Amino acid sequence: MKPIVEFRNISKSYDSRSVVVRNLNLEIAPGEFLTLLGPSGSGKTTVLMMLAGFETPTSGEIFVDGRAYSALPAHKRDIGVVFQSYALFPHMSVGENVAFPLSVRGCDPQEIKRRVASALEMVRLPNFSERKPTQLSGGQQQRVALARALVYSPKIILMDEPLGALDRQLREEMQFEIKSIHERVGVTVVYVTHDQDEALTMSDRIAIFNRGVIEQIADPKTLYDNPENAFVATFIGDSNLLGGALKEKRDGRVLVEIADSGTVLARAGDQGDAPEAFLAIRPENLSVSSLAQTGTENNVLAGTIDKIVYFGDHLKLVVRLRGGQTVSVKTTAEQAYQSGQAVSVSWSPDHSIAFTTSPGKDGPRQKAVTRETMSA
Amino acid sequence: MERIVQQVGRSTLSLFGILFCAFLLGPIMAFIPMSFNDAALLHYPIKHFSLRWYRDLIQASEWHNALVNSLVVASSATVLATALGVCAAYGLWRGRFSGKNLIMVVIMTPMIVPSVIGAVAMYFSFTQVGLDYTYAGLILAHTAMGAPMVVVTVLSVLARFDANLLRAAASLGADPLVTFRRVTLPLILPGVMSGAIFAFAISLDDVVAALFLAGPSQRTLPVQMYMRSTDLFDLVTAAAASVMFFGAIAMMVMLQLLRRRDSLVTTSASTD
Repeated sequence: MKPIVEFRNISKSYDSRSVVVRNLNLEIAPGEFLTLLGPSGSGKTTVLMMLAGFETPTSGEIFVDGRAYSALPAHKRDIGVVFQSYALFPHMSVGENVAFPLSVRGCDPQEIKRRVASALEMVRLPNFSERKPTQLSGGQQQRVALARALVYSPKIILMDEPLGALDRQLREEMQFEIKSIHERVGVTVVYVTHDQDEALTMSDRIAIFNRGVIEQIADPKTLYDNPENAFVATFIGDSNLLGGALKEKRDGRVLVEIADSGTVLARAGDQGDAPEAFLAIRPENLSVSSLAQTGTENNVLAGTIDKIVYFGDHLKLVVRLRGGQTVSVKTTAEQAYQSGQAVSVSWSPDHSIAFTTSPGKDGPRQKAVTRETMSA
Repeated sequence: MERIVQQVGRSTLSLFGILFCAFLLGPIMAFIPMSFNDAALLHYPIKHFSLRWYRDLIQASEWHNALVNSLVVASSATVLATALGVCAAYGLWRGRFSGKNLIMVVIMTPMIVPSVIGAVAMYFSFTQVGLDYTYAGLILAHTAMGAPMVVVTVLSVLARFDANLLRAAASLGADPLVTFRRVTLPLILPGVMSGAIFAFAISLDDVVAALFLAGPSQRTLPVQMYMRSTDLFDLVTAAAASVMFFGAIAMMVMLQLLRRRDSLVTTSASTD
């Protein structure tokens, strides 16, 4: 199927000093929910702004439905935008806000009334037409912004971290609403966020941005199970990252020696030959036992419990391996553990991936415990 | 001990405030009642009150013409100053170019340079192009004096304006002109109106530029008052003075109302 949006060799730099987007090539399928995910400054918002027409690319071309869009001003693009700050017109009522794009296009008043009513119906604010934006809560304002962006049936809707200003519960509600509207209407959505949980739950595909380039673009499950590099492995979901030395490569598997700890078997994440290896393992794929484990196919390393973090429905154990590195293990809170207890950590080789490049000094490292503590 | 010191401090401050207000308003408050004096005398006590001087103000041709001239010049200058000032403020706010500070300084010049210097300069240059002693020349001069005020007030409103609203309007299909008319202008209107009121007041009050640039038929009210108070004095001047005084009060009240209205139309989104 022909893509509805195509970025061809798009680059963007300010003052020719800092390159914000680097030679981007991206195709967006009609009707898909694509999320641009990445840390601040990774270029994802700039890409969105270029598609909306608020920024012009330094080089390259953007095609929408086969038509070159780079030179087209924003008001001729027929693309809906939802902002993090809602950007509702404060001097107009909710109804007038939603009617604005229709009245600008010269629709007749009866038609406008009908379509405004159905748009407000769709975001579940049917009787809010007369209210002013300042009288609404954040979640309601965002729904009005969504109605306003949808009412003239654009082909593409862009959302720039629309739920960033809302509290967690409201955010989850709105995620559900946005997703159900997307399924009902069938519009193409390009969604920008730095919240990877949000990306995982809502998207058909996620493009991971890092310093102006896309590290990997795939559906959530592929990104989670088969990250292509250490950055993606540690950015999506929680992941431990162990440093070691690459010892042997055989049939898509590698042997990695963890200093003073042991030698483990892992999947080869990339084809590199560098001697330094970075091993990514997710906390939920590790098991902990107080008994020594032998004779299994699994990797086993010994260590002591450094810290126990309680999360209500599960525990996070931070285990310090011999040699000094730590891993976080996610486990159900059934067995009682003690700080300082000697344990062995084990996992199946297929659950770990070895990469030869680090996530980069700006990338996330071993922040499994701290990130969960922050979002809890 | 400390309580007494505080009390003395507060009383001194109040006393200072009262004396200051008395100094500012005293001469005006002493003069205004004179305009209601039936007798053509400039001293208290006032034995009988009447409105004869106000009648003269409206009927005597030289006063009548002066009043009309003032209003015509002030209105025209206000319209021009507002139009130019809004465009300048918008350009300074939106534009991405170097030299903004220099442009601001140039725009502010009429407010910094002493009015006599400006008036003399305009007199000599207007004479070269035949604009001296014309309505056009005086209106242009007052426009130049009033526009900086409009730029200042509109810029201060724009500083609080959420630029995302312009992006939103564009994404919804509104071209820049429609966006300005339906989104920007309604929201900056309080700033525009206060700037316009200031420009009107500046034009109405101006004596210096009018003395140089206005011929006998363009004579404005302040010039007329000046002329009449130096040779033969009559209390119509007092009547004119109190008209301008109450006009100024009316304008200040309007400005306050605009300021209140502006704070009701917030541009920041509420977060919960």
